[in-house]
Amino acid sequence: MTASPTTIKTKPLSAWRARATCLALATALGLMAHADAQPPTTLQTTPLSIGQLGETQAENPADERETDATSIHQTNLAPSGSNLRLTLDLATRFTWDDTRDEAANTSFVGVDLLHVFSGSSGDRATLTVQGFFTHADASSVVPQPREEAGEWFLEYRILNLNINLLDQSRLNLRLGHFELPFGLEQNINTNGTLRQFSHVANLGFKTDWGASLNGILHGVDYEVGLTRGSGNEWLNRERPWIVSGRLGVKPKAGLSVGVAGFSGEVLDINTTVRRERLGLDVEQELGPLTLLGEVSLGHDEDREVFNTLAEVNWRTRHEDLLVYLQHRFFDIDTPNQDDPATGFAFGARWIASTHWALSAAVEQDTDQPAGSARGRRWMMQARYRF
Amino acid sequence: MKHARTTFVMTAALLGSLTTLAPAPEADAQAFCALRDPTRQVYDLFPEATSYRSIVRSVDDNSRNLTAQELPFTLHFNELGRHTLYVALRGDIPLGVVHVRSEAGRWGLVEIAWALSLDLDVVAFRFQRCRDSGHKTIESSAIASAFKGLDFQSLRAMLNEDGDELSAAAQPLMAEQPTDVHQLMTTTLRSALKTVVVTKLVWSSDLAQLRLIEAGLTAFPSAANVELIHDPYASHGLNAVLHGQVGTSSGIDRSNVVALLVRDEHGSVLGMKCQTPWSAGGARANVWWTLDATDRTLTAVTADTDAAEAFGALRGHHIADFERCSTAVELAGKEFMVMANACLDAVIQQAASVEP
Repeated sequence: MTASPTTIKTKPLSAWRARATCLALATALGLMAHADAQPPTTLQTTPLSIGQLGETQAENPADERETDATSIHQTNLAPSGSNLRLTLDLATRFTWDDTRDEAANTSFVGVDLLHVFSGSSGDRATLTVQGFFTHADASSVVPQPREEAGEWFLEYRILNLNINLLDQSRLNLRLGHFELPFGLEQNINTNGTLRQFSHVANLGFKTDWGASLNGILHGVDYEVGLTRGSGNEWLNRERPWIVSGRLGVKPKAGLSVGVAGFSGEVLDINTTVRRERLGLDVEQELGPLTLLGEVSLGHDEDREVFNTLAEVNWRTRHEDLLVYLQHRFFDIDTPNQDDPATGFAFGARWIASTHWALSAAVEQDTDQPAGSARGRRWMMQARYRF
Repeated sequence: MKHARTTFVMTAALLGSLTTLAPAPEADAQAFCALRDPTRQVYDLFPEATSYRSIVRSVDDNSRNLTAQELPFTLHFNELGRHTLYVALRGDIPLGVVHVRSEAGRWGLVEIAWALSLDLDVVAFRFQRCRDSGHKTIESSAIASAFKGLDFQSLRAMLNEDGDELSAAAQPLMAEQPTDVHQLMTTTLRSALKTVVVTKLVWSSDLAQLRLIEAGLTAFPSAANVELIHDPYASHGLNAVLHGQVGTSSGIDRSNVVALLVRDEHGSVLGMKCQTPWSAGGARANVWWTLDATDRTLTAVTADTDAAEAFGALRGHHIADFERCSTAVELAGKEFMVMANACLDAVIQQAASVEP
């Protein structure tokens, strides 16, 4: 039987109990007064703070049962109770150019780390590290930007700290090595995958060292960066620099639109190139299909440049299989020829398990500037993360 | 060419051998730099929030198995791994949590950001990714508002026993809606249930702490710090005093009392906030008490059952007002006041003893 509030409120104590209670209270007050004379009680307390959350191992049934060999805490490299994600990432990529009958292999062994630093007022900064020991065959099939071709070398795809400066993520400061804020790459990360957008072909490289301001203001994603202009490595020769930025909006579900700008002295092999671009990128989801496009125009020195990339992709309902078809167009106005570089890329990525991602792609040049041979490259990649 | 193929074969062999050495049940196929925090959603779901706090924990095989015990469906293996719970904050005060989970939809993964109260009732939700146009209907005010305040049992009642179709309880919301919206509604409910269960299983200790922080920081306008008192009945002679005053029991379950000491930003004690499980005469309640340290009066007393009114009437009482107790509720009030005053006295004595 459950007592009603009225019952509780009006339930009388018996007369003897009331008297006993009053007596007890009087005694108690006396005892409390005497308590002052006793040694002081040491009250044990523990501060509770938002900043301490997540620092201790979760006390829940799920963790208590972690006793077998597949325990997450034995296999996950991140220490339990930290805002850290840490994964080893191994990949090997095989590229074959069948027009030149040349092949090359590139291997990557590295770490992928993301750590959120938090305090009592919330998240303060996010550290992202992707450092990879890379080995690329000394072959013309794959880009050879480094002297270490044919040797293992360390490269950072990403290495930056994004610091929250204002509430509600209105302003953050990113320091380190990051992707240039331009085009589709800002929303879709292609690091370590065969599928690529037009950063390298159009801008010279995908990532650079420097600082950026970023955040969300009135529903607009923004990032504006000032970077070294030397790409994967910080190089001091020729005094390069880049200012780049992108504003992105999502006017409705499934549609993303961005406008971007790029200006700088970009380090080339022996000198710098004055490069400017204005770009527009769009992503539209249509059922299982996604349409992607980016277009930019500008100058390399005094030569006009026009670049486009269009992609349609399809994915399964679990998104373990992605198939894409891209058309790439890059035209630079030069005195001796006006043929653009055009081509298609067709590829697929299959997430075979929680560890494995297998990819394959073929890139077919359909047009090349005079003097350049049309090529066809077949690529396969196996990637294992644990 | 030969060298490249040799390297390829050797690397592939290395990768293959590692798969046998690392039987890890979790992995993120996606690089972490591709992770995008649901920043937009957090502030959309909790407009009062000024910041958020991430708590990353592992959702693993055990979580999957325990989820299967509570639901007729469970997590897909791709859903395992390190996941983030986002605590929406207004200043230092936790407003609720946001957790994003994915469900396989008709055209791809449906990612829904769920805003939950600290007691895991639904506050709101947003489709973070959804290729099905039916999400506009579900996000419409009529249906979305029906989710507000739903707890696990209410959400579960909207699906059939197997959890793969809507139950009769959900039909009024789906009147005259096409089949694809019914399917997406089922997906949405499954996502909600998994979110509540996984959040409860994996972040339970964080939620418990968040509830205490929220209770302490909202108890006094200038509250800045909250401390958990380990044994509020530890004061010298307190048990004897209580035995003399209230007998063997006032109805308060002393072994499960949660007592918080609240201080301002300078460290001065503002008062105490306590939760006391209570039962008497067949009635039960979880009672929250707020005691002001300055004048030692009860500034708020709330209870979660129909005893709320009786406990609420104790507001403004001082310990002397409990000299004559005529109800079981007042007797509980007396015990609380004796205990809490003893704690405050102990804190004052401790502070005095360390002052130069």
